[in-house]
Amino acid sequence: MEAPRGPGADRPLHLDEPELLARCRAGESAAFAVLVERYRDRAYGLAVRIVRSAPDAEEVAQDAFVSAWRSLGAFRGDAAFATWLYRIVWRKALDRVERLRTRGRREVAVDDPARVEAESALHSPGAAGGLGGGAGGVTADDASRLERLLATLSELSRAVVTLYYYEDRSVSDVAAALGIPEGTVKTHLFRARAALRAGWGRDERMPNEEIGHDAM
Amino acid sequence: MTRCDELNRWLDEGRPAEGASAARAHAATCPRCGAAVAEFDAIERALARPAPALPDGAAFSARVMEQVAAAPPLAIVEPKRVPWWLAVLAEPGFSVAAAAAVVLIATPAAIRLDATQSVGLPASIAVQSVGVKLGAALAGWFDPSAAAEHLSPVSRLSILVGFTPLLVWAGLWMFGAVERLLRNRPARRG
Repeated sequence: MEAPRGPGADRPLHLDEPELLARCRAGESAAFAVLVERYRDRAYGLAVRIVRSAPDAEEVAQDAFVSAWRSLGAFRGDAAFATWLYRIVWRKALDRVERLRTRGRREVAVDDPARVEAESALHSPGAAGGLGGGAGGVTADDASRLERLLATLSELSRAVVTLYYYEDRSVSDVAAALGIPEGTVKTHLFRARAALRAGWGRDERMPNEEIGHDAM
Repeated sequence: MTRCDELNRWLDEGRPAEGASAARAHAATCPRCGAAVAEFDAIERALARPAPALPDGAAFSARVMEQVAAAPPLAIVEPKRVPWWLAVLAEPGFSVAAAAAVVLIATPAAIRLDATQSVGLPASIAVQSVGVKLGAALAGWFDPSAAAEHLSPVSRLSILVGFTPLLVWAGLWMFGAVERLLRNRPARRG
């Protein structure tokens, strides 16, 4: 087996996913670097929605990629690489949430309005490293409001909403990525929409009050 | 259920095509539902924004590849080849067939009776006759009074042994189902 090479300039950027995966299995780390580049934002996007903390999400995504590299030999290619990666990110993120919860840090982090606002600022259009150009007609206020409401959902609901809406995945893809039945995905989407609608309306009626903390 | 309830449900279901025209027609006449639809539009627009991107993607990739370089080499895991005889044994159909065979072998009286009765009869009737006897033998196993007539204790033990793989398979399947159910339960909010 070829020893892993460092991330050099000779990355096979032009190759399609099956070829990249074949090269990764042969130990070519340059091919894996291409996959990291392609999927890093998506992995981070899912992680940050679950753990609700940018530094923790970066670590989760990083761990997920390293785990993916280590277990690529076991990846049979039945699902798309992205689906398989999402599943690793989801498990790592849940582990992180559990650990943070055990340490009693998470509640403080999520309930801290300054932190939530900082997260929202990170996601606002035009922010460095943020979302880039947002969808038309979405104000920073709406985005911030949505972030606060998403924080009130369970980790699983946030993961379902993230993959379904932000990543534009089908219900069956979301089910495969999270390892849950399609019916469970639909149930979480239903509950999430209901919770977001209820919170959105409440927020509009009470624009100056903090919302969402009651549900945590 | 009122029209307003139906509209709220339709929104929570993600605005499926079914019922869309009725919901829109109602929203056009009901100010409250019209506002609810407008709110949902705003939520979906906000949800349509791309997910947050890494603040420094290049640095992230460099950190990952640093760990990859230090990671143990990839282990190519070949799918485990299960011996053919083990794969056959693991089939629930095999368990049923084995149990049926045990019943047939362990109840020679019933089979002999079938054989004598089946002489001269068309094949379909003979098979049916054997099937009826087999059913009676199995039923006898569960019914102590009938068992005394059809099955000896040795026969019953044989059936139990024959059914054991099926029971083990069903138990493992149930264990897996319960485990999946518990794992997929929404996390409790702290």
